[in-house]
Amino acid sequence: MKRLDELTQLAIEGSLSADEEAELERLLASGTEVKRRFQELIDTEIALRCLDERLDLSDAVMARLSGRAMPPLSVLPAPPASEPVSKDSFEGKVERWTLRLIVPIAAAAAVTLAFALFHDRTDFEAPALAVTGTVRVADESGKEAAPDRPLRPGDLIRVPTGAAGTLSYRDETRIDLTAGAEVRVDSDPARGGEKSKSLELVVGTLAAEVAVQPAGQPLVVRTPHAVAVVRGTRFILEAQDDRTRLEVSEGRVDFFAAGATHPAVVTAGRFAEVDPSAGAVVPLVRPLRHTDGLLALYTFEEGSGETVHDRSEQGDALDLTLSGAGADPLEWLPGGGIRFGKKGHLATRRPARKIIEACRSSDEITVEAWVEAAPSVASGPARIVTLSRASERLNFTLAQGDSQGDPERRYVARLRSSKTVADWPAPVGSATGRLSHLVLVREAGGRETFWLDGERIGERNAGGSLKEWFDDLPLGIGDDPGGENRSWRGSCHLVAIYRRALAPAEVMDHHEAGPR
Amino acid sequence: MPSHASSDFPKSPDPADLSTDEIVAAVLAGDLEAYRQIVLRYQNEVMRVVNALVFDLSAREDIVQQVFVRAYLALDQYESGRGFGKWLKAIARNLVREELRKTLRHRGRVEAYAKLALERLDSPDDEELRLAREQALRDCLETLEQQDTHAARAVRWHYLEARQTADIAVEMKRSAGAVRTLLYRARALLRDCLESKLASP
Repeated sequence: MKRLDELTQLAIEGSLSADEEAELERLLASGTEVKRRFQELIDTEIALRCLDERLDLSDAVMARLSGRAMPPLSVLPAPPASEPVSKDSFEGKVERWTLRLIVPIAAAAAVTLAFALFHDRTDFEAPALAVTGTVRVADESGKEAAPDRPLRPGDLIRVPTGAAGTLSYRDETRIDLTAGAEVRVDSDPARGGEKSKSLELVVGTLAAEVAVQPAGQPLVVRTPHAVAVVRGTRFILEAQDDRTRLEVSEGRVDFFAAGATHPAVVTAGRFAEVDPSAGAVVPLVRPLRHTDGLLALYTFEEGSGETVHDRSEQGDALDLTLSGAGADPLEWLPGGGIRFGKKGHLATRRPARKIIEACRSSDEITVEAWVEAAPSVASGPARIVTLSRASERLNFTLAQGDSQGDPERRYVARLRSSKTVADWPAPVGSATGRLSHLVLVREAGGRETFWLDGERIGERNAGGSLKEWFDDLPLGIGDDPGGENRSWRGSCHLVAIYRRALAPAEVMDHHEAGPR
Repeated sequence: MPSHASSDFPKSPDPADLSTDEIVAAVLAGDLEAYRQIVLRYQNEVMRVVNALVFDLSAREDIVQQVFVRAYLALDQYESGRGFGKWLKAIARNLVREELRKTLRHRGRVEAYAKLALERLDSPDDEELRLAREQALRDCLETLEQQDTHAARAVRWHYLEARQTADIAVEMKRSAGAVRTLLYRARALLRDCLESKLASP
């Protein structure tokens, strides 16, 4: 029985090897008493796992469902050929066949009617197109339109590099088209109701500020992968070759994957993506990253080269460049991110003054990183993100391991205040090859919190202030800039630095948002 | 200002008084708020499935919510009279399987426990026996406090606060292996205690 208990323990912990699994199966086949004890152990484990206080999640579920009611048929994107019908009765079959016959006939009639309306319509409101640079407009047959001709249904607007365009409607709805965008005007009025504004974003990005639309006549924007149904809001829609991304900054948008009947409701401060390869019927909605107080942001989306750009758009850009003697090229990861080779790190070419001055002034900071730990550390704490030149000249570092290497597989934080610069280790085993979200937060007055994967793993009162920070330190990723003896060889997917302490809810939002 | 309280309009029935199939019909007819009653009625059952298979506390809550969202979106596929709880738990099990596949690296090994737990969760559920086992387990935990304070503390942190053994090890100033041994001992003691409590009339 002792061996049975041991094997069950391993199974519960998830560390049962294939051989041990086979041994467990043999034991279980050896007698009913063994099997009974085994079932009791599993039942005890299940009961233990279910012991925690019961929560009421009804509010959270209802909030998730809010606005998910089936929208009116007129705004539905192309419905699937057949909805699953659960009735197996004769009546159900009759109903199903009746639907199969009637729906196509009705749909054909509706399309014919819409087509007639489309061509005879006198209510089509041509948006005005204002352009910067040379924007090309072609009609439905592909023939280029004269520059001063009003837009017509079916026109395709192409915005080349270096140009921009804005579509304006009488109700003050405004849609900015960025370079590279291709947009078809009023391409399919049947989808939005005859009086609805309707666009097709073939590729590229548009930013819309939409006035409140009349009931039942939303603005509808289609892309190759998705449909956005808008009743009045601000949003950015980006159609790439393989996916469509929607970001909402005000109001809400019902966002359908092409062919789906249920939308994701995307509200202010959230985003969603339709990626047909992921196969999700309802797009996953996640929070947008918070930008208030942002000082530096690195998303590692360059895809090649030796420079990682600061995308914060705050003050002078603090770009990072591959540095260090004999540095190996960066390995650019699909979808964004870098992995270091055997040698080299990233560093700013000048002191990170915009970070240093802002944090000295606010007495607060947030350092955030999405990383996968290095498989090993030669000499730690190995610098993941660091504002330092060496251990004795350091303002902050998010790092891995300690001076013995990393025998305990853990991350560590160090933040200089006028009172302390002590290491702050995360729990043993925290540094894994899994993508992890690390956040170090300091509030004015010295309260600090350390977060791992959306969980608060530590809290302390460090006291002091940041006013005594060194003022000449560069920002580095992968090692001390210039020092090169605290080398970190993991992979990095996002780094952000803020002049303020992110609130716990904001940290959790960023964890939920993920690195992209 | 008109008072809704004194209105003569006929009152809608309270969803709490309706059968689950009646509530499903109301939701399908457009009464979204009626779905709250479904959540209140079945959330503990769903939690039981999710908790048994997922250790991370925040992931558990998220998955339970997802189960109800997924059920809502597929509500027209539920066959009235077939047992809503059973249908919902099938959705929960599928969702948990998907989550385990997505999030856990040692897929095969983790599924070894998941498979065993699913078998137990699929077996006919005697609600009375389950409640008795839960109460007995709480009593046994109190007994364990007196028998082995450290083991009881490790159990509470591990199961009630969903803390990992590595984290508990730091807190207890022991190695992770020592904490695992502590939990192993605690489980065996709890099982023996449960056996004697459930066997006694």
